[in-house]
Amino acid sequence: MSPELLTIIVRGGIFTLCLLTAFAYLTFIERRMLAFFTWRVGPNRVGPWGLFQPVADGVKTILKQEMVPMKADKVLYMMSPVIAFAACFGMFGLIPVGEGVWMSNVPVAVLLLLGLSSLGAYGLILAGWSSQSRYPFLGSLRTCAQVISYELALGLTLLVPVIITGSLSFNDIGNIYWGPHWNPLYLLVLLPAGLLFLVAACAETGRVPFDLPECEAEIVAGYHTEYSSMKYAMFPMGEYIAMTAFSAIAVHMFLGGYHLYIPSSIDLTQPWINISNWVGLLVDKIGLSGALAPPWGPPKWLVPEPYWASLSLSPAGLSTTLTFLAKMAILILTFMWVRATLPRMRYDQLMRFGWKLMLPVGLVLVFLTSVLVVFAPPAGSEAEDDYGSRPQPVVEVEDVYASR
Amino acid sequence: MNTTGEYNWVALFLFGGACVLGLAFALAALLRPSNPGLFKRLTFESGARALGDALVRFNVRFYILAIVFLMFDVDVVFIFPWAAAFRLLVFGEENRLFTPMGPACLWEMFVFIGILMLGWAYAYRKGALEWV
Repeated sequence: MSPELLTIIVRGGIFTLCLLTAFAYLTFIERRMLAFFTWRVGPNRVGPWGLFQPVADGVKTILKQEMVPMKADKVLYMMSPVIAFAACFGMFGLIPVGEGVWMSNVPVAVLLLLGLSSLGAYGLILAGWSSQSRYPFLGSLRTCAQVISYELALGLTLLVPVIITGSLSFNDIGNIYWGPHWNPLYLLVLLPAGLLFLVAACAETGRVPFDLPECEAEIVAGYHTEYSSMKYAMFPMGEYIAMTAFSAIAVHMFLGGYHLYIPSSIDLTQPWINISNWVGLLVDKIGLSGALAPPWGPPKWLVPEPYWASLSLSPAGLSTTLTFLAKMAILILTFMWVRATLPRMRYDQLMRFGWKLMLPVGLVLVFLTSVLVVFAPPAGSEAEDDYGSRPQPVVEVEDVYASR
Repeated sequence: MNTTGEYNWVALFLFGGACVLGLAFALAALLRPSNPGLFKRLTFESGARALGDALVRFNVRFYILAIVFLMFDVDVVFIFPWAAAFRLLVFGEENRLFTPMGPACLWEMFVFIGILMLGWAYAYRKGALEWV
């Protein structure tokens, strides 16, 4: 087994464990937060402060009896929770979490991600259809209509940072504010685009103001009415992981990714100081040595030398990861706050909002961004209209042929 | 940078996710009690016995919406390569052997987005986006 493959497998295992734990504790944090917002106590019985509640929930879900409806299409019924979960889960295979901390560094990550988020809709639609029951069927149709309506706005808002940075890779887009292409005027389009993205992400994952797929007063539980036990658990699991993934995407697209900069003076137009590697700065200040010196990794007697380098974590990797997680946590808590604050929309309001407001606004934002990129070039560039002053490379081509 | 390997890792991660699910399902199947009965296996219909087929007729507006979506979605995906290459097309790049297009690139795309907006206005006018 090559060191590269082993690294990827170990890293994938760590990612998977972290994601599953994150899902379990997100449900707990959300319940505690909702309780806090509504002046209740929330789950606090299992373990200290109720911290073992997710474990209890998991054990209960696994031990529950499973009931498969007689009429159900068995193969699709089995497959749809897997599709719904794996599509959301797979998004984290594309999203870098810190500098060097990623499953893959694909140059077209944004496009692949859009594809995966559409793929998740198949799971929900098939779940409703294969149950062969009326409520799930209606629920799946609703889900389908909702997801496709907001997918357009989602794609269009993602285009704004893509146009500004000229890249589809998260590592480039994350550096948007401090990269060579930055101009403060771009905030005019980035702010509304970020807001639209959060709304569209809410709708895509079926979070509260847009949780019409699971509108219990109208269609019982929507597409997962007929699911029980572990198969049922896959749907909320996919939903929470999708919420985490969309927060991660929003951080990369609109909040400067895993970078951290502070202004050097009160005048914000001055160049900002890069403190992305704050752990490294701290380590330099304290002066760790010997076994404590970075990079940190598993004990050397456990992991042989060729593997160790790729499994270890540098201070830069650690600090960027922590920064990224902190930014993500802010967005996830915002999603939860929104859930506690806003009532559910009516279905026609939902459709009107998506098609008559989000879609045209998204198109106008793309339009404005391209205008800004052409007529408000990066602040650092020397000429206003750069495109005329560049040397014409075509001449060079002719020269090459002439010299032969 | 060789990036073909990177796509394999994404696929591997997806596959790994599906495997984790398989393990969870298997574990649940081993541990949980299984006591199926006729009434447990009936489809849920608010307590009444479900009559007829579940795949009922439903409103045609879903079809219209799906068609409008398909049209716009393909167009949005078409905008993506343009967006990624936009800066390059307008300004060009050092050591890259092609003539930058300048603002012409912008106007050409505006025609496309304009047609898209026209299509949206037409759908709006025809009531395809209404949900009554």
